[in-house]
Amino acid sequence: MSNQSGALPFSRRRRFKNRLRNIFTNPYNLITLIAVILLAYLIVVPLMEMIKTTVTLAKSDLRRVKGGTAGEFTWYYWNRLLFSDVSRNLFWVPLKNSLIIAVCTSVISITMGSLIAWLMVRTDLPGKKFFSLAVIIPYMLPSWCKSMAWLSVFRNETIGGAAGFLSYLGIQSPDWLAYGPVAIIIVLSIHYYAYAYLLVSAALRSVNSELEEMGEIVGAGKMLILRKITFPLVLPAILSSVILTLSKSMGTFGVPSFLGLKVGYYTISTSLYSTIQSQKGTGFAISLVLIALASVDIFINQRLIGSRKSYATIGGKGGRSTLLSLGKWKAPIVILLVLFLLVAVVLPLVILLYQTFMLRAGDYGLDNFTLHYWLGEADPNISDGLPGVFKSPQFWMYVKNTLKLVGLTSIIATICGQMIGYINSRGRHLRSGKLVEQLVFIPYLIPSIAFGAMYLAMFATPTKINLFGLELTLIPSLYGTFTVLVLVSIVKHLPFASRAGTSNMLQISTELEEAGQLAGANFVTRFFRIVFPLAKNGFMSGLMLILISIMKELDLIVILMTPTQATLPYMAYTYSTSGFQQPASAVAIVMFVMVFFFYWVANKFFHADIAGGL
Amino acid sequence: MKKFLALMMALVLLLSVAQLALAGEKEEQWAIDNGLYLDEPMDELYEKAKEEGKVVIYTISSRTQKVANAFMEEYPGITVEVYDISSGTLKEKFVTEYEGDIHTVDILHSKEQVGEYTFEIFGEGMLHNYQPASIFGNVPESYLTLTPLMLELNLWFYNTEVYEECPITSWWDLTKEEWRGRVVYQDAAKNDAYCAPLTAMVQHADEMAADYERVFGQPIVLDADEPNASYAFIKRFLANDPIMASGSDEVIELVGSKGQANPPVGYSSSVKLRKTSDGYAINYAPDKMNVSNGIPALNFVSIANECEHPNAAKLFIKYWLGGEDGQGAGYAPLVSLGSWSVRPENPSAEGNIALADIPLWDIDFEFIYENIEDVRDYWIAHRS
Repeated sequence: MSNQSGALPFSRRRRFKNRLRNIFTNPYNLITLIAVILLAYLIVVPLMEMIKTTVTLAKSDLRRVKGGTAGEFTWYYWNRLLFSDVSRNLFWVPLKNSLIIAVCTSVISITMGSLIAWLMVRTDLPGKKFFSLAVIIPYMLPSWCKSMAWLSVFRNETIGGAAGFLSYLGIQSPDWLAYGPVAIIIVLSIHYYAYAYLLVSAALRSVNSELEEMGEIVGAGKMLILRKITFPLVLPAILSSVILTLSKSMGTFGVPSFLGLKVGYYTISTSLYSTIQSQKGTGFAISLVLIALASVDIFINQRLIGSRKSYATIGGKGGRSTLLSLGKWKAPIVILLVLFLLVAVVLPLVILLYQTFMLRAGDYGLDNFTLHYWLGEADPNISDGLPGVFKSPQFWMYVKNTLKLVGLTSIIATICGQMIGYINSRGRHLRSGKLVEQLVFIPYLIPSIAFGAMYLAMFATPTKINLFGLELTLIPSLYGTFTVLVLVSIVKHLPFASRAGTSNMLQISTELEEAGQLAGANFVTRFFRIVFPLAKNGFMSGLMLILISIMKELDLIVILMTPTQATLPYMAYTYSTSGFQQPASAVAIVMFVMVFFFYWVANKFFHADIAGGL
Repeated sequence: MKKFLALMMALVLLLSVAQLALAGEKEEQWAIDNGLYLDEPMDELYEKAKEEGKVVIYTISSRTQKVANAFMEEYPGITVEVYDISSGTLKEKFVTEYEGDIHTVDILHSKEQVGEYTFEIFGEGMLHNYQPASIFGNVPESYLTLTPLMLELNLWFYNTEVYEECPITSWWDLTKEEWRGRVVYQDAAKNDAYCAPLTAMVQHADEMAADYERVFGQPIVLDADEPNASYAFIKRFLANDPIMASGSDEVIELVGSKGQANPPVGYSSSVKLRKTSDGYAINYAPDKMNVSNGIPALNFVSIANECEHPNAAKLFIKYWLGGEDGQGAGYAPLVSLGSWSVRPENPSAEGNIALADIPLWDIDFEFIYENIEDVRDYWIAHRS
């Protein structure tokens, strides 16, 4: 710490020595080194494994490649994907569909999210407290709930089955609205606008309103201020949400499979999932294309945003903010917002809840009302003798497992995320900071089911190294332990956690830390006395963001679980694949209530606001 | 020196060949050591199983939990852990675990339709059959390539509210204009249970050609990209806009929901006939179908090589198949319409159509295993 007390005359050797010492004593370097090694192992190794699989001939494909031997190098999978008879339907058409969906979804959801953010932060919109909670709810509902709700409303005769609500009323909705791209884009937009909302409102909050007031003073109109001052200031946040939304809507599986597959509309993700089952090599090749596309997206984004990515706002100086009056627009905007929330929040929830009370699916009459799926004892005539959810012998075990997994994972992931955020924010001009930022983003792009399978392969056996003939066990076999579930969930959610950590740490100006440094505080003291207290709220917000996401996780962990480690999403999944829609919906409601409860507690007692998290 | 090197090479080669041969024998020896070829009485097995205390099952059926519950009541002291996952995940999980030298699972229950278990897993000794004569003595030889639990079929379902009898009697009906957009199937690219019957169809293309003539009154004219009548069926079937469901329960829902004016027909697992009790108006008439309904899906059980609880596993399998007289409580959850036991001793559900009356293609695992990927590619290339 003494490298600032440069009382001695200039000396080249001394300077070099100081620099060298700085490299080893600066905690930033140490943390970065550990982070890079860990991330390389947990992320790069699986990625390499994936690449290897796409060029290695599998035993089960020997029947396709005559004269081959298992394990040899092959272009067969890439060739099948890109240049064979099936390429058009397996790859090019789905790719085109995915691009259309991703672009439209991004445009709609980002416009919507930014507008709501602006209304919430910058204007005198009434009922903000209520709205700020309500607009997050769509993010808490799994996206398949929303697709199910969509079908419950718009389903027509085309695909058969129980009538949708409109069709029940005698209105036949057209096919283009009920299924396919339009339906997928609308449902995805309702899900993903949350990202843009969160990012943009965080950015807006950090912009000092003096800038806008300055515009007002010189006589600019509201639209002009919005266009010329506010918009450019939040542009980085908007571009950031473009990455999240674009790559997420390219990779998402639930919604397009619900609303597209029945009518033969494939996207790259549904094509991936149907391929990975029958031929892993080709499936992984599709994932690698997805990863490459997202990387291009990130690269363009980094170019566009350049260096003006963010501003420190928690500094030594005070800032203030004046709200813009909505004037005569107030009433129509409130009505519009309420209507939107009715469609996006209330409707799916009500439909889901109502379903759990229907003895037979599709019959909306009152005589069909039952509490069986919640409280009923097993009855061999209903759902194959499945008892109500609360009477199920496994239910409480699943609840306990879910809480354990979600609790451990979200806390550890958030701490790691804040650490990485510290590296990113303090080292964003350094190569190491950029490297960590990019490494951390990779798991986001690997499909969950593939990621889970790779972790199974990686941790099934102990990792040993041979050091001069001495065999050392680096990592014991983690298979079947709860640790591996936690580990895979943490790594998969690091992109989010570190995104939250970075923006949290960026807000804390380095000048505060430097002040501590001048006063003689060491790194540990600085971190716990200055950085951590300031980061506390952001920490809770980040925690909530991760918690909600892990709560819904299934694909990632299903292959790693042992029977006694199963969680609530597994329960919902087994019910719904066995065709027991009502019990499945009941479990989904339980999951939602749990998430909502956590969020409410965090919000009430820790002032967490997911919007502050990103 | 050269001679010495050659000698060494030969020795190494010899040793590695010996190693290979030994590898197969090692698994076989394990099976012998653990009494997989013995027919121990159930009481005796119970005593040994109590020492093991536990048995872990990977299954593809939600009904297995019921069997487990009944078993734990009958044989206290043995905990049964049931893990119910989809067949694709199950196979991957098992293989990855096995290759990682992890032996969590004792009994694996899945479906064989494609030959992948036969050729890729049993062939390597990763799973063992367990066929004691007291249980399997009267089972036809043709089912004993694996350890059969029961048979289920995929059959064409129709909506009984609208149709009095099954409106289709031939696969070719599905290519007619009147069934455009009114047929529910699953994506054969993803689901083997829907690709395997098409592969068997390709094996029996001459029968399909004959059936075409019976249905349309003239011989089939093949296009250039239709290698035979069965491929022609696949192409024309896909061109008729079938609805692709994501699971067999969804097929039933789309076909059998009440109150439909123009319901589709759909291909689904025969065991789903029990969903009539959940309010679906469904039935099938496989005995009226021309040529064939497809191929049976063999539900098999197996004991994992080097598993930790082999005796509990043996006991559970005996119990599951209904015990020595076949009437035990273990088989009871499996007695339902649309599932057929291969043991003559087991009860069959009342009203079940006799298996012998249902036209089916014999399973030829070797043909299916060798050709299913070609059929799959043809399917993908021709889906819209």
